[in-house]
Amino acid sequence: MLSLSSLLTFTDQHWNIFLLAVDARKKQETQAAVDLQTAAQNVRLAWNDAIGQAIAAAIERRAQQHLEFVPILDDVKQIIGDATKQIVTCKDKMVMLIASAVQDGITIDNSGYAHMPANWWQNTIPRMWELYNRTLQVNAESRTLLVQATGYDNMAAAAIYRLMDRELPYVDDGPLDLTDAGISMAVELNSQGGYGDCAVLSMLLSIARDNPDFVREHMKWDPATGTYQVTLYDPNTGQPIVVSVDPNKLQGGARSAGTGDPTWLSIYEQALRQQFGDPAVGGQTLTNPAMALTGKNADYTSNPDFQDMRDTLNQRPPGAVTAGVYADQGPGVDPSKRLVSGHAYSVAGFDANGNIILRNPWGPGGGYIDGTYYPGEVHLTPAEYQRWVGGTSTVRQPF
Amino acid sequence: MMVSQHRIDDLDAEYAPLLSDLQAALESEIGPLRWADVPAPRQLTLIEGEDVVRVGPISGFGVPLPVLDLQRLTEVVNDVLVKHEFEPGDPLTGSRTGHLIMMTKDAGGRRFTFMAKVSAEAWVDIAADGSRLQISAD
Repeated sequence: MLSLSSLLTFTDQHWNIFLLAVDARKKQETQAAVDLQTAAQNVRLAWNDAIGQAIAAAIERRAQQHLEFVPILDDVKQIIGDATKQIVTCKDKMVMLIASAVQDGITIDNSGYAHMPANWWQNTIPRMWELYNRTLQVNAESRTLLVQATGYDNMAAAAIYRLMDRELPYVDDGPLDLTDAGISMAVELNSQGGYGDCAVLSMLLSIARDNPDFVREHMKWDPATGTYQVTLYDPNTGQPIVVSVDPNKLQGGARSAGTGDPTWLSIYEQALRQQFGDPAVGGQTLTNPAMALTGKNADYTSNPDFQDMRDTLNQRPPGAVTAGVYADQGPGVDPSKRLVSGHAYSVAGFDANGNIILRNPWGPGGGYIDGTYYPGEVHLTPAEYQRWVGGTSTVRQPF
Repeated sequence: MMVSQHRIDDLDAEYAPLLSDLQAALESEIGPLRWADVPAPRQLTLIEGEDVVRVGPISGFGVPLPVLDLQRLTEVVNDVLVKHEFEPGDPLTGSRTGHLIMMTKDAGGRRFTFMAKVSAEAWVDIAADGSRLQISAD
């Protein structure tokens, strides 16, 4: 994927050297054809028998082959020219997007992901929400521009490789963004769909949060079948199971809250449903999601050791922790600390005040149940965590 | 059974105005929203096995979830539904996945679904064989 800095420094001069090479090659091919046609004509005149005519015809065929290459070169030139124009257009749009985002204090990182202003929480709730949505919008637009520019860049590169009679190196992650930044952003913006699989989704979010290699190692694109091959594990034996998922047949599952598009989480969720049943109809009875996802049992406790939790999350690659909320918190709870009962949360880490950060798999915007709003992220003191969280599942590396 | 493109186009002409009106109402009530392109009407088989023609969804991103007035939002959606001869839906209160969900139907058993979380989405499903579709309250 093109980075933001490489897009912003792109100019229409970038491909000029190749356009000049294409022009030179075109002249060579045309000249070779002319030379061969002249030679064929000379042979035909000088060697006027069946053998001479056959040789002349063979030389003319070679001349024709050179001529047939000329329109291919014209195509390559056209492709590079068009790609250049389109990349410059993407760059111009990106410059405008950045200028507009800056007015709201929103920044865009080198992977094209947008970030809220540093002081966003100091605003009123409506303004915070406006900034949140504006950030999602900038995020979607900037990533789309980078994806588009990368597509044009690949198109030009493929044309140049064709000119050099070389095959493109094999790089194919399929239709989803499986770069580090893409995997990470899918975690941050995941929005649970219509399936009641919060326990497994939370564990998956926890596993992948700072470990994109886990996702790439367990989810491979097969271009021959147009499917992702997802490696799960037998919940009883821990033996690997490979499940094929067709990305065109996803319905109603997890999505990106920013764009509504499927992400790697949607594929993983579909693999789990295919293998273990549909949680929406009570079929998915995974009592230990960590085993199905990693082949390793999670430790479960109702009395967590917070230093152990920190150590697990600080492992490199990190371990994973999820929190199960079983009972209602009771009346009078601060709305920013509301937890859904009968629901699982991903433990994302600790904030600067030592509070435990819980992420709701519903998504960053939270959601409603029984007319009450529950936030997408909750920060709990250790005492609050022990009071309200009924069970903690921990899976440590290596897995 | 395969539904002809002509029939799919007729169903689109019949139900797309409902979705357009709803889009305008939502934009006015809880906007500004960022609307995705509406996919072409199409026949599909749902996970539950139902064979339907789907018109929509409309998808608007940026729903101001924490500050919604659920009663007012329910009224807004129902006003549009009644105008297009659908039964009004139950109050929006939420669900186990955090979505605000409303499902209802018209006299012909065509099913309208509204879902909202970070995005607000709505669509109409029509049974491919012309039968009446069920909703969970049926």
